[in-house]
Amino acid sequence: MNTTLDPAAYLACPHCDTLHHSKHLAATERARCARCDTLLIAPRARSFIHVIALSFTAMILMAGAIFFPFLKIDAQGFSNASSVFQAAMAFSDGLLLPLSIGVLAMIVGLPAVRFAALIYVLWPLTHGRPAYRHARTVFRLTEEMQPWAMAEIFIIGTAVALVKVAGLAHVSLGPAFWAFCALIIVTALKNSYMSSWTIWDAIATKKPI
Amino acid sequence: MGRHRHEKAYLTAHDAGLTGCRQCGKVWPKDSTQCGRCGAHLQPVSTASLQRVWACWWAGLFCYIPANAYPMLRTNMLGSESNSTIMGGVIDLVGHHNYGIALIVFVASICIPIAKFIAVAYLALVVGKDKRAGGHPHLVIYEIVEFVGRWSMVDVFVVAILSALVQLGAIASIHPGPAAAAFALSVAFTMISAQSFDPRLIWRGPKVSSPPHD
Amino acid sequence: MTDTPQPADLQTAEPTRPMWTRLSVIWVVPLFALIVVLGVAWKGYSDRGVLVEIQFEDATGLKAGETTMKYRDVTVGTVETIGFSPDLQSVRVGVRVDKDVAGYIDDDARFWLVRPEVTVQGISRLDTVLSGTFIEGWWDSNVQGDMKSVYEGLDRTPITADPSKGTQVVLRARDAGGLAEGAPVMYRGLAVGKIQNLRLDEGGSGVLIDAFINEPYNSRLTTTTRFWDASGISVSLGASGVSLNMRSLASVIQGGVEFDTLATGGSFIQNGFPYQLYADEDTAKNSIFGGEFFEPARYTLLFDDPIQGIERGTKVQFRGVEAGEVTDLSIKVDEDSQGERFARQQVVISLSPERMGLQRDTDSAIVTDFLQSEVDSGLRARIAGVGLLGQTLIVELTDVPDQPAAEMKLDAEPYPTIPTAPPATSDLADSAKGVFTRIESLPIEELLTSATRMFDSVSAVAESEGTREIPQELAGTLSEIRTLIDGLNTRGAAEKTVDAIDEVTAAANSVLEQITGLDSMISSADQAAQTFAELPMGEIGGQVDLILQDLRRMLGSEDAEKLPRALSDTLEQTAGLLRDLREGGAAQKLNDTLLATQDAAGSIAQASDRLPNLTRELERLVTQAQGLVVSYGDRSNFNAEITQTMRDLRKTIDAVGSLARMIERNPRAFITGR
Repeated sequence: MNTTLDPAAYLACPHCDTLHHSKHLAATERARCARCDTLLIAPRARSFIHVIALSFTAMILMAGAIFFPFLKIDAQGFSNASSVFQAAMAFSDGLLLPLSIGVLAMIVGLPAVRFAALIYVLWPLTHGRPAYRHARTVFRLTEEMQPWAMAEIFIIGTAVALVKVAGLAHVSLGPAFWAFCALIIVTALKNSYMSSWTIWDAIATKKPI
Repeated sequence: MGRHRHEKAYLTAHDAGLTGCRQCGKVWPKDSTQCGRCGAHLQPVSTASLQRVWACWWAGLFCYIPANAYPMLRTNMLGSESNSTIMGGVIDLVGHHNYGIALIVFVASICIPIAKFIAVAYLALVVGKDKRAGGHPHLVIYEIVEFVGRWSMVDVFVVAILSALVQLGAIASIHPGPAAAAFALSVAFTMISAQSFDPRLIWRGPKVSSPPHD
Repeated sequence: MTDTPQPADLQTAEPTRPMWTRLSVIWVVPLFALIVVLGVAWKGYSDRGVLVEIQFEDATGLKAGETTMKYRDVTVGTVETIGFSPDLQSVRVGVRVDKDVAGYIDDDARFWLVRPEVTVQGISRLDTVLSGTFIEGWWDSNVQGDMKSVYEGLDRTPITADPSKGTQVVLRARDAGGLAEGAPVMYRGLAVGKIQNLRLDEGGSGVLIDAFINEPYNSRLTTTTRFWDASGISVSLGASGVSLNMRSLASVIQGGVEFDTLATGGSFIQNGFPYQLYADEDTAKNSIFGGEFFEPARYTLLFDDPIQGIERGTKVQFRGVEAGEVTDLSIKVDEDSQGERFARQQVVISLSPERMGLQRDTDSAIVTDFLQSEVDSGLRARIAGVGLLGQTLIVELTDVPDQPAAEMKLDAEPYPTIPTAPPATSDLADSAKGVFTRIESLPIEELLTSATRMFDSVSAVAESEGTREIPQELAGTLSEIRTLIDGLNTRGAAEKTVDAIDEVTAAANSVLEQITGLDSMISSADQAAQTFAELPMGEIGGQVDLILQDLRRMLGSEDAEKLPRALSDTLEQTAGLLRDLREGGAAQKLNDTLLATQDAAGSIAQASDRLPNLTRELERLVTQAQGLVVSYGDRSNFNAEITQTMRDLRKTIDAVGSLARMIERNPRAFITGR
């Protein structure tokens, strides 16, 4: 068909491959795919600084979630407390050990790495400096990690487990639980501020938004 | 910028002889192999990518069998140990008249994974033949599968939390069973399978049902 | 061209925006999160308890982060660290104790491990099989003194967690006998406390036992209280019959200690008060030493002559007053001046100062001083026989004339010596053969002598002038007497002995009553034996079996290897207990005891049956003789002879009677051989 199109003038929806005209959006605008409605571009005013700040928040909360007591169970005079770390290591028996490592990575490792990576990528961009070395690779990996970072799923799992245990014993929630909940909210907020197209643009053009 | 829910002809990058980056959306000439902006590998829209989908689909299915056959939880209550498989747990819950929870577990741990397998298989089978007309519903299916895929991991986390938390000596203790690992693997494989699925295939017309090699 | 300086342009710059305006409000979010997280962390840190270090012998069942510490069954802390003492001899456990109770932990705090225990009284703390070992602590509500840097954990659960709820006393016994850890302390048959911590005393010459008496029974304890070993079964024969004393099943197997306060007027006692533990109730009540234990003055006696018949517990008389007892017997080998080795009998006696006219708690040095002066004036120790028949040997401290000068050796080991004198009786060797030998030789001789003398008298009467005038009935009487005497003469010595015992026993008060008593005792012994054989052991065994099965099933055989060592110990102990109970045959032992008792009782009963004959015969004789005397009026010669006969007869009967009384006083000798 039309083979003379200039690739630089377009963007393709990653979902449905529909070509769109590339366009610089105002800070509050949002761009969606015309066919499949996937959010393509959503720059927000000072969005990078927000993402960085929220990532910091998330990392602080993550530290709390790891080190504070998570859940405590009481039943007929017996009690047992568990931290997030212990929950992940529940599979550390023998053959299930790889699963343990996987769970630990999914609920703690990958989210933490993603926050750190986002800060690494965005920090120079907010100050109008060119991106750090390997920012491109780092950000791409960050994007690829996203489905595997399951902190929010973990907290839902906690809720389900609590429902199951509720009849058996009294469960008290530790500060780590609330830290985790806050972490989920912060992560969701952060995601709403993030637009990968914008970030890619910023990395590529080395210009601040 | 309207939301066009219904079919209308759109020019895809593929049809325009270009390759769109699945990662960042940047468009590159057809023969590019790497995205110049984000460094991702550029895949041409091709049914060849379905091979990965199928491979992981089968792997996920194989893992799903032991995930159901082996116990997910080993519950030790006052000395009596019971191994509960996923289905066994549901039957137990029904036996205890906890129909609500039984339904939730049944849907979350059995229906959804199976539906996922069927959905992915359906998409993979259908995209090679179908017309563009099927595009939008297929995309919905794809989006649901991709979204739900991660959430199946909830079961594994529940097992982990229960095992770590319920350690009350001989009164009650819960240990993870081998099915937990199988289930986690199954979820992981279906996730990879769904990710490997190239949604652009959904929109590809029948006329380019074979890779457009010039 | 011209280098004329031009006015410079003003160098203007954008006003530097202050730092804070460049900062986005969004930074409040991480800041807030940081403050909250740090706040929570600080609160957790400041609220964390105080670390109490406790040393235990081993850490079986202890887990850092899991094992709890309880105070009054409320969890107040968690084990945080488990390490070793610097010398590796013990395990040092660091327990994080809640702040609000940590302040009360001072010098007097005690800690011990609570694990499942299997005793004959049952399996205790079975809950810890499930919950795991925990540390229990006890401290009072006074805050005085600081927390120690390291506490020594007790190696066993103390008798009571709260020592303020009773009184702890120390019992001193010669040996632990049948007592076991945890055995009950009884007061009139009620279990009111427990004993524990059986241990040798410093010198190894006795056993120390801690006993704890719970409130309110501890108010029964005074300085006049006496404790005795109530282990097992005892049978006593008294004026009112025979009684079988048996406390609870636990006390049969495990032993037990009973106490009673015999006299009023004693003063109340403090914790740690020492008491003597007597071998049995009678000894306790009859002992010349008080119930209160104090170190009695002890002395060594060295005898050259054999001293068979002297045993532990043999009485010591001080100038005829019971003042002590023999506590130890041994052989001491010495060398004489030529280097020849010779052996002497070493007898250790303990003396009650009170019985020698001194103060009750007189120091032994003062007692020694007193004795020293007595020895100077001729006091010697010797062995003597007492009692009607001389069959009871005692150690006598008395003035013995014509003895070479001697003095006490104060530096002798193990105790100062009191010089000895030869035995008081020449037939000591014979009498030392034992009580039964004495009974054999002495009373029968006397009986025979009396009888012979009577026979002589009767013969004299028969030969006298008035014989022909003796009515036919007297001739009959005489022939009866002759038959009696013949019978006595012709019977074998051993048989006579048995008969004597038989008859003597029978002569004890109210023969009929006694027989009734025996019967009921025998039947109760029978019943007891049956009960034992049929009921408790089988059932207990079965129950323990059931418990075991339950336990095993409960814990699941698959997990058995993973069970804490405490549990496997428990199971082993349980199995061991079972085995002991069944194979070692506690039931069998009890049965045997009861059988033996029954036998003894049976022979007494038999004896009682046969007994009246002789007594009746003798009584009739006397009556007839008296009638004779009356009928013959004042025939001088004959009358005198008859009177003599009568007197002899009376003597004989008296001798029999006092033997009977002796048996009555010391009934156990006939049953248990003690």
